[in-house]
Amino acid sequence: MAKLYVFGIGGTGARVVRSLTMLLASGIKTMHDIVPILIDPDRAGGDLNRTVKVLREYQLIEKELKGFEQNHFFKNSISTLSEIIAKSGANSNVIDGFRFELDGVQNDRFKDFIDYSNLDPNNKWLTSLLFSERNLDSNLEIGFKGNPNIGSVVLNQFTKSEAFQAFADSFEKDDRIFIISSIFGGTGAAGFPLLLKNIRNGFVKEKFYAHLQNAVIGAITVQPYFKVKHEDESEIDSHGFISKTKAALHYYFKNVTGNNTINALYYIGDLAENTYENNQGGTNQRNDAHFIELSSAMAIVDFSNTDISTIGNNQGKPENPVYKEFGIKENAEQINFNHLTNDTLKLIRSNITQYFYFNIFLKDELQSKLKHPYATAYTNKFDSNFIDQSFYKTLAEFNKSFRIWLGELQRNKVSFAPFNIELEKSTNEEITDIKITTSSIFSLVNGVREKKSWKDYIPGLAKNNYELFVANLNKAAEKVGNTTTNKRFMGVFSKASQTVVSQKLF
Amino acid sequence: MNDLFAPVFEFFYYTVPFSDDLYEEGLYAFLGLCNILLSLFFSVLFYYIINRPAFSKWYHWLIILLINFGVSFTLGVVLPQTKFVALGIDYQNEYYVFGLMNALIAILFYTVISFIIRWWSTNAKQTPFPH
Repeated sequence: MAKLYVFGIGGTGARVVRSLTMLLASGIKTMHDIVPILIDPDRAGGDLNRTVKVLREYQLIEKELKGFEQNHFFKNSISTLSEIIAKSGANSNVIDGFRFELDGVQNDRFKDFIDYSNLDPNNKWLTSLLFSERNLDSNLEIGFKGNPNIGSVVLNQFTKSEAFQAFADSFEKDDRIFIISSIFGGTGAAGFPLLLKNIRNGFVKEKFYAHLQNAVIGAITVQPYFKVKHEDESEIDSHGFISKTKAALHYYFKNVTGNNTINALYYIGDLAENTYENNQGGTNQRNDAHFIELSSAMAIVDFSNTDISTIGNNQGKPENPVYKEFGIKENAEQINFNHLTNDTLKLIRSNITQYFYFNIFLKDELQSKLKHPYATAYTNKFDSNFIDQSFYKTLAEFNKSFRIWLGELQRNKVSFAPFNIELEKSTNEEITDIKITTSSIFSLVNGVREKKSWKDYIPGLAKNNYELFVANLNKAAEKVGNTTTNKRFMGVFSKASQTVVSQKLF
Repeated sequence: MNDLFAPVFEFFYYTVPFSDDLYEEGLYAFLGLCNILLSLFFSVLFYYIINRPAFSKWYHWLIILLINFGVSFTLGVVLPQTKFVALGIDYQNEYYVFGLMNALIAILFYTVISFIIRWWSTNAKQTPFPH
């Protein structure tokens, strides 16, 4: 299968890839194997680390289920660049865990990175025109803190790296590229046009790559959707977000869309009503998931599923570049499925809901429902031994991340709250899990009424709530039959979740 | 049919002249068929009609078995009594002992049928106990 290299630049890039991972876990499929490449100088970045964690867990789960048609969760393959290189048999020293480190930024000030002290006086003057004293003294280890002028210099180095060459070597004719960046920050705003220019150029370390030059490239440029608290000490000030966005859009008008270098460009933004803590980087830069990031992840799915005849190239130039925006039906402080347009609903509603029910069943009910036929009547049983195995533990960890992601989407502004859930928080207000407080589980989808049949009107006749879920698990187990325990588990649960959601909701 | 069921009934309970009268009146055949049909009905009811996770524990199966027992006991008492009273034949305790044996035979059928048909039940394939 062809590959889609997804470059996630900066904190926004990492958060969008996190949302993409959740969508793929819920069963949404693209036409490509996804190869995430996260570029962020901020090695300790909380958002980056959370994304890498879920990507690794996704991979472990997906590998166990490869080729098993009866399961529809975790269907889309996700690979690291080094795995792609290893598969192709090429020689490379690149070892990545989805993230790429930029050489020379560890413990370095920008001044040291550009070797300022050894510049001749004229260049020093020129540098002083382009960069403030604060810029020059800036510590690069925690990112570019909203300074694209620094980012563009440092990120230029990535396109000359061995990792970038490995990417170019592994890139094949039908592969595609997608770049995620925010337009109002530092890393993403600087990285996107630079990366695009270097890819279209086709030369990497003086070697020409025709496939790269002719690549179908898509990108999403995320416009301001949050503010940060004002702090005198911080270099990040959200008052500048709009002017930075305007300046960058002006630049893109000439150098991205204006020179016809991109096949599909997606624009997205929001009213920026939410205010985050002003963390310049590091482990504390751990922002709640946001609906904008989820929508941006949908753009990647849309790009992958767009037919080549619509967005193809002619000798390195997009023939019909497309520009897309994302919208919902109506504005509200808290949105649910009813606020989404039909295309969006078709893409995410069933899948996310199915995964939600699968998830809460595992969290709240599985342990007490291991005596039913779906668990015990087959050669490979779901018992306490299975629950202690690494596959289930990894799945449980991933599921917890999924629940936290849902909780964060709900807490953020604009709030995306498809389900009626309560948030569990730590003392420092971090969401640690979600809980449901009703036993009527099919009333949990906000704005959607539970479907009723005639049996529901005769007391005691219809199977309800978790009993209906277990009945569907038993039925699904008969269809899935005997296979390895891990495959059987996912097959049974994905089929049963699919059936209960279509029986009781939509 | 009478000859088919007579050894079964008489294995559990044989006393003259009560058993001979049952045989003569063809009640073994009738009660035997009733037992099989009732047990089949209760098994199908439990495994295929009720067939739900919330009613699939061993004690749920036992509840149905006891209902089967009760119905068969009543039938085993009432049917011979009605017949013999009409014929002017007088028995006392025999009806109840025979009714008890009839109910035991019925639950034996219920158990055998349960184990034959349970695999095709979605929610109770391991009731009353796992394979």
